[in-house]
Amino acid sequence: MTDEARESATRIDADAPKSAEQPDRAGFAKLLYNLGLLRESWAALIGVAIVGFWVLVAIFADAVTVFGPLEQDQFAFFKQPFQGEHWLGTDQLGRDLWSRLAYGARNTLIVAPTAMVCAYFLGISMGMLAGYYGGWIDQLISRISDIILSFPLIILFIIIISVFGASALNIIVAVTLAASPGIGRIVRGLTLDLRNLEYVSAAQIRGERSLYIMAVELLPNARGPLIVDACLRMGYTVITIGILGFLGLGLPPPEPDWGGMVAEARVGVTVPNLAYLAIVPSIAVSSLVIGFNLLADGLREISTRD
Amino acid sequence: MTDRANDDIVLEIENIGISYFTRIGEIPAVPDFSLRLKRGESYGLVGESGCGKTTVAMAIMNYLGRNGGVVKGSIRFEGRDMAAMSGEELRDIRGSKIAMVYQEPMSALNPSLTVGTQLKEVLVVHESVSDREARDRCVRMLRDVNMPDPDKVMGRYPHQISGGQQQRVVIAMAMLSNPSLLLLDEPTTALDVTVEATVIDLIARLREKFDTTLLYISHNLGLIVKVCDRVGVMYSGSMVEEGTIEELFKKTRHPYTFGLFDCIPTLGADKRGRTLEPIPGQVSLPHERPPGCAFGPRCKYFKPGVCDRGEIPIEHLDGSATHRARCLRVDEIEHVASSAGSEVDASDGEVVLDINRMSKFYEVSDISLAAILKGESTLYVKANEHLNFKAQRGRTVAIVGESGCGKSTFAKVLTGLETATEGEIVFEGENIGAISVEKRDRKLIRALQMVFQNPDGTLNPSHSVGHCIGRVVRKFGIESDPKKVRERVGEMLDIVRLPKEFATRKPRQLSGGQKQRIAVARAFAGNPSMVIADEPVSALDVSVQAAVINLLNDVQKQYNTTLLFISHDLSVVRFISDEIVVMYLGQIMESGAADTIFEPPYHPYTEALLSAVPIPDPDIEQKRIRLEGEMPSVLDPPKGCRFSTRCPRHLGEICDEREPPNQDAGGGHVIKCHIPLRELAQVEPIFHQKDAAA
Amino acid sequence: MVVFILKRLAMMAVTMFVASFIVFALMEFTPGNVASKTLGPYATKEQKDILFEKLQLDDPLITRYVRWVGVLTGVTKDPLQDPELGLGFEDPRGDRYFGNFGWSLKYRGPVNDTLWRRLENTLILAGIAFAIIVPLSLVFGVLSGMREGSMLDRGLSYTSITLTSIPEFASAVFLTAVFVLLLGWLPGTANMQNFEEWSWASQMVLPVAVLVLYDFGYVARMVRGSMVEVMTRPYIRTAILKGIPYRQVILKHALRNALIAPFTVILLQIPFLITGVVVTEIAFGYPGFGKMLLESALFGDITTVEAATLIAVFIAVSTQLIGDVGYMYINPRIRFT
Repeated sequence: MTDEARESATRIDADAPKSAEQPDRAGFAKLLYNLGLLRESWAALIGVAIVGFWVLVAIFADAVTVFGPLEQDQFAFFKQPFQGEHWLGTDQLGRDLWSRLAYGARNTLIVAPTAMVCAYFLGISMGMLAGYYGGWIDQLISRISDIILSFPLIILFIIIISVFGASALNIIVAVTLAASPGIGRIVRGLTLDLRNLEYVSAAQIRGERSLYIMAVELLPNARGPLIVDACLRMGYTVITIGILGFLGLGLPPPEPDWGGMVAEARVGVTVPNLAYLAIVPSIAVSSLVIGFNLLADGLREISTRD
Repeated sequence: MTDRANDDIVLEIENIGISYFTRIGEIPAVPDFSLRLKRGESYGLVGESGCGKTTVAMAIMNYLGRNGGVVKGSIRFEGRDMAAMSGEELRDIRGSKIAMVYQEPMSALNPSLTVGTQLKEVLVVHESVSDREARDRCVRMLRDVNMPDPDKVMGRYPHQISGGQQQRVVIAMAMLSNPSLLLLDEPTTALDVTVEATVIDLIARLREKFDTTLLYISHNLGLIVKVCDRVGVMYSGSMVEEGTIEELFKKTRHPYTFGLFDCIPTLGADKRGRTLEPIPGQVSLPHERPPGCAFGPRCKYFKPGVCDRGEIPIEHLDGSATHRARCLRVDEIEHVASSAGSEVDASDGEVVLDINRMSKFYEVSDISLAAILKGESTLYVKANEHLNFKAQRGRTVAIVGESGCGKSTFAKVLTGLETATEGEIVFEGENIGAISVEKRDRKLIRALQMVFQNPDGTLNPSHSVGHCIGRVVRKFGIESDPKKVRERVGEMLDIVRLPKEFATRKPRQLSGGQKQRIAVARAFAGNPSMVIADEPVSALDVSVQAAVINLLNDVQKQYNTTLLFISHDLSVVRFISDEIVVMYLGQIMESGAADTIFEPPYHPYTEALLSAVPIPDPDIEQKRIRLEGEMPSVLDPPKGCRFSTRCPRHLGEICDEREPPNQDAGGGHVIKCHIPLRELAQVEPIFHQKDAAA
Repeated sequence: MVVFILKRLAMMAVTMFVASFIVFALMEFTPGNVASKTLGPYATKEQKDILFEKLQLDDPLITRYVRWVGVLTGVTKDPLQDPELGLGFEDPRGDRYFGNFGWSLKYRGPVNDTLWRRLENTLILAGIAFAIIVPLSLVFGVLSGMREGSMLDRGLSYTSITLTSIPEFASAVFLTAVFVLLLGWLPGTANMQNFEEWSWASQMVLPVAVLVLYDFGYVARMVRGSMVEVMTRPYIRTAILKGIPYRQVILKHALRNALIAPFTVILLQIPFLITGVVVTEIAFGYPGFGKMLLESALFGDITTVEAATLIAVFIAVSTQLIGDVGYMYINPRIRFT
């Protein structure tokens, strides 16, 4: 096919602005306004509430707990939840379960966002380059992504962690490596959609450098779908971190780690008095992921509504 | 009146109101609308986008989606109230008694079913005929719509046939069960002008043959003239004027209808002969309509206290049974036709751009196994071949042609987004054909700027108008001090007649016309010596289009800029340009001063193009020349003359085998054709006034 | 079309090649040299030195990789099976055959002995799950996508968001707590032993349920999304305004187009289920492929990990190939261009 533009007139809806009055806001006011938009979707609201809860718990872990996460209460092994001073009970070593959950939240919410930032940095760079330049750069980047993506994710994690050892840094490296090709693919698709728009041609025609076009003309217009994707990926990353912990590849003990807590207590699920040890951290992981996913769903709903 | 008198009424719409229900509440898309169609009649519904004409069609089909509905009044089809029909009855009528033809044939057809399956279905569902009989009837109908090779087309998928053929399929599908009412919603808007002409002919012929009642919806008054007996003009959800073709075009009464005529460029005059008078302002949103006359805020005859009080009824005029208008001041208004243009040719004759045998080929790899085995896996798309023309300072040169003719590729080569394969582009004394935009210096880049087609794509939605124009000012080193840049942005906004406050607006807060103005401001902000405008008005409504054309004209004059105007619309081109270049399949067929193009001698392709242009004047007759067949693929163009496969004046072997010479008809008028100039000059003009006596 | 398939096959070969090299290299970089990793922790220094020499571990990585591929493809003899070494690595299949993955330290036998048995177990588990997930998500996806915003649609949306948000290890915990601890209907493990106490079927219920719960919502949402999108297309309007009964509009016009996009997604569930069952297998002690992989990785049994990875990548790329070809086949816009 030629790259001749479709020249027949595509008539626009009406000669009137799409959204009549939407005053411009800057900085903090804009953030507040956008958060206000969330009110329109109760899914998003619930999502914000759940995620917000865990973020606060993670930040103020010292303040919301009475005992340290590693502190062993010699007089209270296997304390049941909702009785006495240990709100959620204690584990086999007499450690306070709520405190381990709170500090576990802190670990998860440090590792997951860090990994996401790294993955997005890498993924956006790769996707932009591939989509904007095309040709052999695209071929090279896409083929490398294909190869990484054809490794089943869990196997990739198992190999990386078992080779390099379990640590927060290695988890971040593994998640970055595994997630960035997928992000790259999305960004590449968005870039391909956007790069043929006329404002990009206009920028090229006035001699803008490629980096400027990618960063200033393209990236800001890709942010909507990327924010939704990031929310979904945050949820998935929390699951991944949980899985790694569960498989014994997470943060090395005795660090509080939600997946690890489930793994330690797994065998006890069939014992009436021990089941809570596995159930409580399972609920914690699930709720945080549900929070992220509801938020993503709500954001998508809001963004596609107009 | 008794019911019996209404027996031949096919469709009767009485005072319906149609609303959509959204988050911001009820939106009255059509507040009050009435229409009566007699059997066999052809009615044209005209209006700009957003006026509610498609909504009316969908209401007739009783298909307004889940958030829309008829809130008052009634629609009676052949005497039966559509609202009272059960789902089953409605289904019986749809597709058999009332059929519809859509704007985008490609998306109206199911991509994963063959044409045959989609056609036969209509007969199988409505008439329970056997598959074999359905097939036969479909093939016959395809033949009726002039489909070449109907048997083969039955087995094809929609994407395998051309846009014109797809529309024929959709029309065939609609006509299969011989409906008594056919709704056509902008059926040719997505098609090229020569294809449009054949489809319009087809519709007119089918209508005669099957005696179908037509409701033809269009934004183009020129098309309405060709197919309709009566016309209704809609504005902002209401019918503002209605009458026979004769009444509406010759005894126009409503200010909006006048306004429309005043802002449409016609083939009769150019910028020296008349001015276009755009309608000021913009259509108000359905939920923000003013009280009284909806057109009031844009009407130059608006009288406060009269026009903005209460509802305005639509009244019969001068005792005519058919002519009605919705205007209180209809008897007081004296319309003055637009004044003559006042253009002095300011060009000093200096050649700014000299294109010399410029070609642009693209390499495409043929990935079929046969091609690879034969070692012929590289094909060339000859997007531009041996282009030759000159442009003088301060003049407007138009490049016209249908889609696929290579006019946009030319714009890309000129701006350096692509480089020429061979030949020269001499711009202000420098050969720039081989220099891509990355290698051009700032002076050159600044000298050559562009305005694009699509208002929604032309501005980056993330940045404000001020940023967008300011970037150009800074980039080209005109100003660097933030305060000075802001001033300059304000100046540019002033030049395109927008308030300075627009600098802080984001593109989504602007209308299509406003966006195009910003695009013009952006292009001119660096004082370019040449601006390329690629279909700058084709996505705009006529009333807005006129304003942008005027603006381009004025700004060009002010800066003494050369304007390269790329368009498919001959009427607009006729109005704005000093010189015209006609392209077909990558080559220039004819070029010369604007008025010489519209008079004999014509290139046969130009002749066909002119014959196809819809003209909104019932008094002008066009010689009828229709092109057969499809435009050949750019991958495999005809060997001799590019136009030879479709040329109605094809001479014989010479046309198929040898490239035609560029014949000079004098005064820079060049025609690329084997037919001798003398013979070309002898054809009669395409346009002539209808003989009043006949 | 032929060219396309040939291209994909070449691409597949390259992927396998690169993947095997990466795996090989990674395993080489784990702490300790290959000789001691092959022999395990209880070997003497002398044994290690002999093996080090025998395997020519001084050679560059590439040379050793080529040698490894040679053994794998049956071109060269497996040096470890040399009786002179006295390792006792005996493989009834001989020391030179295609697919010789070597000797597993963890399972004390040729990798092939364990590998295929475990893979078969996993295929059964994943197969049952797949057979439930696909029809279930198709039906729910299509029904809710048909009418966007309906009660069913909203219900399904939030159900599937919730279900896909619960990690497999968590849903295993919840299900076990309810069906094993509370109700006592099912066994808490699925080790595929003690069939007298718990039947085969009863052991399979929970692992299958965990997989279905986790994956069903995801696939259903994909199908729904595609269906919603198709229902807004003008050709659906054309079909309705042609007077075709709604049922037929859905079955004939919408479905065919709506299933094109999710087709690839559904196929991709195959590699996901086969390798993604690690968590489920660990949770229920199911003797499958994933459990083998994790056990051997934690044990430092590099040969088994290498073998498992190659198999997994092979499954992934061949599903992709099938997906691409199938996609071309069901989409006439690509089939006839």
